Parts: sequence; structure tokens; C-alpha cells
Amino acid sequence: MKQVYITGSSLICALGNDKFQSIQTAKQIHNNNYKNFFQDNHDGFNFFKIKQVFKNEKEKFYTLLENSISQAIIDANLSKEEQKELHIFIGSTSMSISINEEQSQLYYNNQSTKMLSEVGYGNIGGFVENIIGSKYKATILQTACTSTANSLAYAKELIQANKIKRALIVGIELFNKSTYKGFESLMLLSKDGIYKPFDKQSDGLILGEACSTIILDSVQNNEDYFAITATNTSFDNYSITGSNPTGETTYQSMKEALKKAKLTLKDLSCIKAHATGSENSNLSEAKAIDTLFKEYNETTDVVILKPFLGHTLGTCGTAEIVLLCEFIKEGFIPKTLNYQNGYEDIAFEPLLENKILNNATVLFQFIGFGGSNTTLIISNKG
Amino acid sequence: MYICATFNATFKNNTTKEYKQLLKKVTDKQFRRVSKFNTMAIYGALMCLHNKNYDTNLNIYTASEYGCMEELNKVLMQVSKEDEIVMPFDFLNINGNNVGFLISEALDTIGNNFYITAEDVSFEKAFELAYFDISIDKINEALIGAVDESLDYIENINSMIKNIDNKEIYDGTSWFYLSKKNTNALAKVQIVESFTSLEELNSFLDTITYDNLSLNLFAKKQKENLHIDHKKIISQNQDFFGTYSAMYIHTLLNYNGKLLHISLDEVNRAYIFFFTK
Repeated sequence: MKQVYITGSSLICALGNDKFQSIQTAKQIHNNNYKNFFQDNHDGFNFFKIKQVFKNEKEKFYTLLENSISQAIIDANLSKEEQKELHIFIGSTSMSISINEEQSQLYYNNQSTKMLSEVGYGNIGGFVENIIGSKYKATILQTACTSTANSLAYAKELIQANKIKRALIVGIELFNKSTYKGFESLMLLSKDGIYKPFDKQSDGLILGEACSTIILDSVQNNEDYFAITATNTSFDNYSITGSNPTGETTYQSMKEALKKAKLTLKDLSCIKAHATGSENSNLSEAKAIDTLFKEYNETTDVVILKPFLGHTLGTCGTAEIVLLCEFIKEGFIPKTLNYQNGYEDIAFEPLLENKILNNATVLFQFIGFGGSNTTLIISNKG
Repeated sequence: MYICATFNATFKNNTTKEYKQLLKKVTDKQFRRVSKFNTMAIYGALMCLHNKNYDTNLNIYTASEYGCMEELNKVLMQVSKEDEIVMPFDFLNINGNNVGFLISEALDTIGNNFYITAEDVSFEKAFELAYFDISIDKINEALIGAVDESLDYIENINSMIKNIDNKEIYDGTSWFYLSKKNTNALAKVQIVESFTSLEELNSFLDTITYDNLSLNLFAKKQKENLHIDHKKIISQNQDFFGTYSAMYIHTLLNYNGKLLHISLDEVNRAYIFFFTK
């Protein structure tokens, strides 16, 4: 089977304005300075914001999108001709709703006669096509928090089937009132501002902004590469906003991905859990991992990244993959921030000390509203 | 791969209540606080698979150019006021992908579902992904939908969308059931292909024969530059909605023989759908 390599990537998030700055900031965050790091965030909200200033929401959205894509293209060292061959996938939950919020605010305050700035999200694809000069029409995929993870899975399969040569997958999730207030009304947001998924004391999730890009290719461009070895997507029909408490779908998705990769748990360096911090999602996923460990009669380390980034919704696929790959390039996988006590009937604890390594095989798990479960196995073990 | 069922309906801006009345006629299930967009989608999907012996593992691909606009406008109005609360169902309704969950609930399916948009060719992209998934044996069956609301209530709407003939905008819900099985098949899907220029497209058109031809609105504008037999172009429904190409293919499938549909986007990238009956 043809290998599919990550040849370029970028990450703009609360940690920094590129992936190098982000990993340096992340390395300095510990349990005892977490509150100080977090206090520098969104105007009184519990929120992880990108620390750049823009004139308006439109400028913010399109500047960050362009910067993220440009950084990834430089990272992949693609020529202008090679960029034209990129098939574009865009994943997001809230897309450019922040731009329409700003416009409708003007409209309802009688400061504009225009109700909306944009109708539909297809024009975002046109913007990205123009930046890179791609010959191909962009595909925008919305599967909630698995949007970029599913985009990566599709792009990988299309490359393997020789349908496309290379792909650019970009996720963007920016602060908007609709999403924030929506999560607030669902009573899913943390009040105390200490993000602690999988902890018994977790009081909810904290949203975050990110714009992150991954470039996939059938040809590796340097020695320092990661490859996507297997993917799996499964559907949980339990509830539109919650996972089945049994964890069955998540367990099956992880098991199927391991089977496709011809790996067992002992081959993994860790599982990167979705770990949102909401009680239903925490318990369901913890149960799924617990069941997997019992089934294989083996364990592996469980890594949680959202306390570094916030929950970046549809972008968490690309954002968390880039962040963990950068940690691995730095020689370790990070311990779980803010974790103190686990659930009574769950046998494992997430990683409590940094784990030193240079090569890793990681199972990334993502779960979204609407029942989507996506698993990707990514490795730099050659 | 075969098209085993289709459904298409357009309405002149029905209310959510009117769609719920239609829904009641095809299902006993209750869908409370569901938006107009989602109700239109569930109705179309149920009508398409009505009395069909479908695989519960089928994937659902919902395409839309504009998405859940009525509900989005409602939420935008709420958040424009400082103290207004966004109700949970209003928030869930503006998340486009939730439509897939609701359809799977209506149909009792357990396959994956995806919400896809791609300026001017959202339905074409959704069909392309479903065709790919079946062709690599990931799934055996797919349900592909094209759903868009009428946007006539938005001032100067045609300055924001690609309604290039300034047609009246309708509600539209159009669905296709694809299967590897040819039981009660309406047509065989022979080719689904995309091209990046008119030159590439014309090279392909020089190699293919067909009995009936359908063109989307951009392709119609370019018909003098396409290597096509103009006499074979079929007449189409004049209603317009965001993902209207699905309706055009639905009409094309009423004809016999070798059937070709061509969609172009604004910069002449092409999507070809070739069926035989």
C-alpha cells in the first residue's frame, strides 16, 4: 500500500503565531504556572485566543487562513508548480460565522443595510484556491469536531488510490458568539478556567482558536517525516450532542484502525485521546480506552492536548496532530496538565510524566457532535 | 454501481410547519425543534428511500451551497443583542453536519454521514466522494442529497450568490440512492470524472457518445465552446436552488439511453456524470 506522508504543517493558536513558537510556549507550561498562562486570554471569557490584533473579523479570518497555508507550504518546500497540484480540503465547525456576526450586528444597529457579509462558505474555498493557485476546486467538509480529521482521512485515501497527488488540509476555528453561547446554553463550558479533561473534578471544556494546515504527499521530502498509516471513521447514533456512555463506537473505531494498520497496542507509543472535558464525552471515551486495554490485555500511554490549546472544534484534527508531532520532534510526549483524580471505574490514568522518545507511533482519536468518530494512526518510525 | 432511487422536490419557500406536515405523511417519528433546512433534508431522504430495501450501513452525504440559512439568521439576530441567550436547539440547527445525524435517525442507518459544500459544485463534490467510497469498497451503498433553502427574503441576495440567470430562488431537496446492487436500478453509473479546464473536458467529450445531455447554468453559458451535440441538450426545470444540478440530473434520468451531465464552475473546471439505462 502506498505511504502517505505529512510533508508540511503549520499551527497558529493561543500558544503562538507559528508551530515553532507554539511548541516553545507549550514546553514552558506546567501545572503551577497554568493559571498565569491562561489569564492572558479572551476579554474576561474562559477562552484560548490567538494573540494577534486585527481591524475586523474579516481581516482576522482571511489573514490567519493565508498565514497558516503559507507557513505549511514553506515547510513542505513546494514550488509554485507543485502548489498547483494541491487538492484543498477545509474543515471547520463554525467556518466564517464571526464575519457574519459582525455584519449582522451593524445591520441590527441600523449602521448597515446589509444583513450578511457572506452566504454559504464556498467562497472560503475560492480564497484558498487563489492563494496557492490550485487547479482544483476546494472541498469543505463539516463533521463538527472531526472535520479536519475526516478531511485528512479522505485525502489520505484519495492519494493511496492514485486519485490525487497531494493535498492541503486546513482547519480554522475562531471565536464567535454563536458557538460560545451555544456551548454555554448546553452547559458544557468550564467555569473555573482550569482545563482538566479525564479528571473527576473536570467542570467542562474551554474553547480555543486555531488555524492549522497539514500537507499530505505520496513522496516524502525529508528525513524528518511522519506518515499516516491507517484511518477509520465510525458513527455513534446515540445522541446528537453526546456519546454512547458504553464507549462502544469509539472503542470499535480505535480497534478497526489498529487492525487496518496491522498493529497492536504494544506497537503504539501512545493514544492521543479526544478528551474534551465534558462529563459525558470524558466517561464514554475513557470507557472505550479502558475496554481496548482489557481486550488486548495490554496498555499504552494516554496523552491529552486540549489543556494546551483549548478545544479548537473542527480544527482540533490538524491542530493536535501538528502539536504532538512537534513535541515528538522535541524528543518527548507531554504529561497531562491539571490531572489529579480519575474516575472510579476506569483503570488507567493519562500520562503523568513527560515520556522521552524520538520516534513514535500514535493513535489519534477525534469525536464530534452528530456522532462522528475518527481515528488516525500516525508514525515516524519509518 | 447503480442509481436505485431518486427524489426531487422544489417549493416556493415553504415554512418549517409546512415541511413538518409533509414529514408526518412519511414517518411516525417526531423531530422536535428541527430547522426548516433539516426538515427539508429528512423529508427528501425519506421520500427517496421510501419502500426501498436499503443497507443500514449506507453512508449519507448531504450537499448544500448555503446551509441552514433561516436558523443562522435567527441566531445572528440573537447574538447581536448583548444579553440574548442562544437556545441549545437553535445552536445545534446551525451546525450543518447535524443534518446527517437526523437523517440517520429517520432512516435507522448506522453508516457515516458527511456535510459537504464547494462553491457552485457542492452536489457534484458530494457525489464524487460517495462514488469514490463505493468504488474502493469502503461502503456498498450511499445516499446523496442536495438541499438548499429559498433566500428570497435576503435583500440583494443575487449579489452574494451565483444565481447567474437571476432566477427566482426555491427551496429544493433532491436525493439519490446509490448501490452496488442493480436490483430495481434506474441507471448504471459509468463515469464520474472531473477536469481542470475546457481543453481537458473537450478532449474527453471527443471520445464519448451519448443520447441525452444536461448542462448546469455555467456549462450552458459555455455551450458554444464545448464539443457537444446541441440537439441532445434536454430542457430543464426552470426552478432554481443552490444545489440545482442534482435536480437537473434527476430530470436527465427520466430519459433513456446514454445520459451525460456536465457541470462547470465559474472558472470552467468541469464535472462529468455519465449514466446508461
